[in-house]
Amino acid sequence: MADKITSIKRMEIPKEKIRQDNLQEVLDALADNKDAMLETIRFFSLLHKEGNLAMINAMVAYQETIMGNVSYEFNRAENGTIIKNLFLLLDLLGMLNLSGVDQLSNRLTRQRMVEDKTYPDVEKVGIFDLMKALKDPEVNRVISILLLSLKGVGKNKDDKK
Amino acid sequence: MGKQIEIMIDGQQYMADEEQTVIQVILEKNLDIPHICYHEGLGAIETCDTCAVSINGEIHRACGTYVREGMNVLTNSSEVKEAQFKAMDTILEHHELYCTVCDNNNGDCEIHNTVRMMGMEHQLKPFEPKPYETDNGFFYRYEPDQCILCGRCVEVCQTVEVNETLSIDWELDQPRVIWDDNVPIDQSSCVSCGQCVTVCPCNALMENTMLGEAGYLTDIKPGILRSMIETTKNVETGFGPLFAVSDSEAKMRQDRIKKTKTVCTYCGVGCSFNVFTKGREILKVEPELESPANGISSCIKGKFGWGHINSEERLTRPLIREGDSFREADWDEALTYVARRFKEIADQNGPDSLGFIASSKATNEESYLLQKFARQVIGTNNIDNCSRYCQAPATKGLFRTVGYGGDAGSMEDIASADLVILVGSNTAESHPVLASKIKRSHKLFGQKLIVADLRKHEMGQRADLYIHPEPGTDLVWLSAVTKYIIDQGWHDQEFLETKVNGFHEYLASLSEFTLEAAEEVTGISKETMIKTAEMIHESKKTCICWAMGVTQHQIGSDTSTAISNLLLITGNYGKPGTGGYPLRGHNNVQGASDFGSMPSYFAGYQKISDQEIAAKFEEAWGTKIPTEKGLDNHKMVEAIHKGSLKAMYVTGEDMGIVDSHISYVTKAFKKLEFFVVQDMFLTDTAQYADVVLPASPSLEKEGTFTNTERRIQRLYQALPPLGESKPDWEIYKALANELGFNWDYSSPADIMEEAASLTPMFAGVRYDRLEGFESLMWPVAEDGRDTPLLYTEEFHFEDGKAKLYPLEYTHHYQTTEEYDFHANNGRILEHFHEGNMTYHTEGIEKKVPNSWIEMSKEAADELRIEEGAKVRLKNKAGETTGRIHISDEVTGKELYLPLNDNGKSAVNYLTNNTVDKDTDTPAYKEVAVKLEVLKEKGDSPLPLFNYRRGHRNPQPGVEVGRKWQREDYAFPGNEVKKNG
Repeated sequence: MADKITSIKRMEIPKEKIRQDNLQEVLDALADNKDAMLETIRFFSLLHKEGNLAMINAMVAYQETIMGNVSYEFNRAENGTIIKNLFLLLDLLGMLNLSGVDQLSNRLTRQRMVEDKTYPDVEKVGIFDLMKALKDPEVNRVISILLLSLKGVGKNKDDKK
Repeated sequence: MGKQIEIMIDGQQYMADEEQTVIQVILEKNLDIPHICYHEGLGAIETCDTCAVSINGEIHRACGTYVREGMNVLTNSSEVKEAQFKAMDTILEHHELYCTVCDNNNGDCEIHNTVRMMGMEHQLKPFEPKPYETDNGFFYRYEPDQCILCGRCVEVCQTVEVNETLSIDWELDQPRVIWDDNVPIDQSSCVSCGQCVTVCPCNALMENTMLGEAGYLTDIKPGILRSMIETTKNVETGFGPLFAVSDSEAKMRQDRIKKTKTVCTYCGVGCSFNVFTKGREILKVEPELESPANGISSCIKGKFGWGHINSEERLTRPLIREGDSFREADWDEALTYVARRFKEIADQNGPDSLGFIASSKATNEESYLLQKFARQVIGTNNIDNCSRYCQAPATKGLFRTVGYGGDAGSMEDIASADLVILVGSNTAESHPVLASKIKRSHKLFGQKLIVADLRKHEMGQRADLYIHPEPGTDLVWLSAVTKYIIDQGWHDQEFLETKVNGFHEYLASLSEFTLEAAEEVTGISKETMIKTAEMIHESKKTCICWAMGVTQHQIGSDTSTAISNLLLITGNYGKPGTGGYPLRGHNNVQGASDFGSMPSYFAGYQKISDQEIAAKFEEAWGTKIPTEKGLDNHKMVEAIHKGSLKAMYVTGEDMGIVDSHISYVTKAFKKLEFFVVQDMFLTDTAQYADVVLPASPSLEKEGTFTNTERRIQRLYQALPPLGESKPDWEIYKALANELGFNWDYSSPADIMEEAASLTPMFAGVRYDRLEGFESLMWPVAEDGRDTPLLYTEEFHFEDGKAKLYPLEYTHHYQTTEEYDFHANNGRILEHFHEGNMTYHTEGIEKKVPNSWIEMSKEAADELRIEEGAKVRLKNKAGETTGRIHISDEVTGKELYLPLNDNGKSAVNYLTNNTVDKDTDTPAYKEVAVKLEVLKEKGDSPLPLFNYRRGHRNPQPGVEVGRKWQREDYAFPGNEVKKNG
């Protein structure tokens, strides 16, 4: 006759046994990864030697505060602008074809050297000279492109054609 | 499949089907096109405008335009690009890109991926927050600020799940997704199926279990998180660097988040999903388009009900009874003890003094092993499974008439039928994903629906014709309708002549089933029966689905037979969109029987009495196997009372709650000499055991399940077994070896290989054919050909012809003057069965903390009681108490008791020993009680945040036309033209 029962006597595993098992698991992992572990130890000992380990530990311990502070600083208008501009400058630097300019100037210099020339004397350019220059098709094309670009940039959604 | 036509895309010529939209063709040809609201499972929604393309010179949405002969499509022109960018600008106005600190940054965020694919570097319209708070539901949360109003969630709720809760209020100043008529998620009619979350392309709808868990940087205090988002936005010069960081972070997540394909452990629909785990944490469950049974669909249990996996109540070590408590033991001790006691009892009293119950929750391989254990190791056929409680009568009815004990076709057939008849099935709650397919066909494609049930539940309310028969009289109206059809000459004569035997004998047996006689017995009007016959006659393809409302009666097998007879008479077998569908209740109740855990069959329904078959198994297993039929579930309990059954091994089945007449069953447990229970929890049944063996649930093992469609699907191991629990198959193997057998299966694949080699029905079932989301529907030929639709060539009898099976109406269950209430009972959506798994999920427990007793308003008025009244129900079997929920789904003196209670409200205190005369399935649905009022009113047993209190808001879909009518809306394609 077996009555309904609900109580359970849990198996008591001695703390020492649990500790021993855990330790064994760690030892096994160490032994299986000997080379990687030795490298890791060297890495940490180098950090420790330079006094960086303590700092990293502290940074990890307070990472949320640090992230908060950094975000706060980043979000201040002037700092945000500095960082944004920095990225924009990086973008710009990426876009510039400096090697092309370099090459061009090299070629010009080379040409002058080959031809043994210096820059000709330039006369003053007056307003009439300027207007005359505008009629030059090459100069005219450049000016037109510039104007069209300005028009495009300034275009408003509501502008009628 | 429509006509094949030629179109040009970006200067290349392609063939396309004229029923395809432009986007379908583009995607099919693996060409690039941005798109966000379009989803293969939902079709065109037309809200996001990002798939704009040029068609014959005009900009159109590729998702909303069908291909036509000679169409010229450009996906790359500058106008197209501009329109697409404009569309994306509008989206990003509603969605803040903070991917690296977003829990949805898992490589599959569709906004992120589309922006990157478009090569978009900047947004021209800045992000604008919406004036709405986050809505935190029990299972998922809605973040209006991140919502782009693509409407996928609405479309899936209105047209796939068809629960009709979500819509977009386009007329609000700031449109948003709303639940019902704009109430919080948990106060709405939302059934928490989670499909909206599954299809959301971004992080607007997310599973709570993902929040703060998925990312490395997402579990940060909200204030600091906000600062970090601002920082990211402040310093970004374009999306490029932002994406470089977030893509790297997404990749890093894969290091600790594991994605495993599994098959649901709850009902018989057999949904398959990917489950995302981090360590032992379950982050989310995601159905996939390629999930063969469910596609992108799920229900509350499959999507969110996994609390049992890591429950603190899980058993993690074997338990051995010692005095008045259990003692945790190690496996060696427990297995040695069980093996020794089994052997002693078998030696002393013969092998038939032991009985075995296989689990319908466990895998096919485990069912196969337990019956092998009973037959080979012990030497008895006393093996059964829980289909005895539910499905055996349906199988019997099909064996009698068509030959195979399974669904005639797939759920695709049910979805494509002209007419679906549901008999005794609350499909929307018991098989929710299948119900959705019916609701979808009914709502969108003109499918007709007849529902015969005592309760006018959701399916009854949606039906074109709702039939309320007197309890237990379905056989009568079904037969009367069949007779009327023949009398009208509407039967399928050619089909009957060429494919069916026994017409004349059957016709003669129908003489007593006149409409008049049927009206008197069933309470259904003649007109309703005629209407039913007409609807069957008018439809070219009819499916009948039935469940426990049919089978759990004393004439359950006969009523199942009557259904199959009706289908035969009307020629509704063997054609797409037709057939009989006994809706299996558990994930693997089909497979548990298929793989031999039955007292008279080996795997594949091979008879144990057939000498040739027995010899095959004897040779394979190297032992003599008894040829007499063993004891079924019900007879085992009887045999314990008689003293002939001394020991029992019950696995994954809480018989002490789910069997009928539980006081009789639990008394039997007390009489056992030795009782072993194998389960995840210390269930009511386990509390009587001498030894409890801790088993592992579906996510912790490999194997296969077979769903109601006969579809065999693989589950993969997502987690290691908890503690020292083990998968059932490993326990059986260890026990068999302890008893001197040499079972050397190294994985469930080995077990399947053996089962398939001995079972013609599964000849071609192999694990490599079931990789990932692949599946096979039995019978499976050796070359791997499976059978989604049965009986296309012939029926499963020797001459290939079906049999009409004459029936009589022999029994009429009725309430009496003393026991005047009928206590109907069954499942509810949120809990599975008695709830011993689902109660471990916090959200489900909150939404449905207890069971209740549903009563009609008229009965309550008569008794002068109100919502929350406390009553006692009593009959000769026992008594139970509970609180009243007044519902218009029940009528008169018919009550409804959900099964999800193992306390005082358990319905099986009231059920008795009466069984189906042909299969011994308990007549759970024949319970007459008297009712005693204990308290006239009280708190409602139904919490305020239960979906039954919500008010659905049916819509055709997302209604994008209302968006287009807004003054602030302009189609980007038109703007491009205007500006150009």
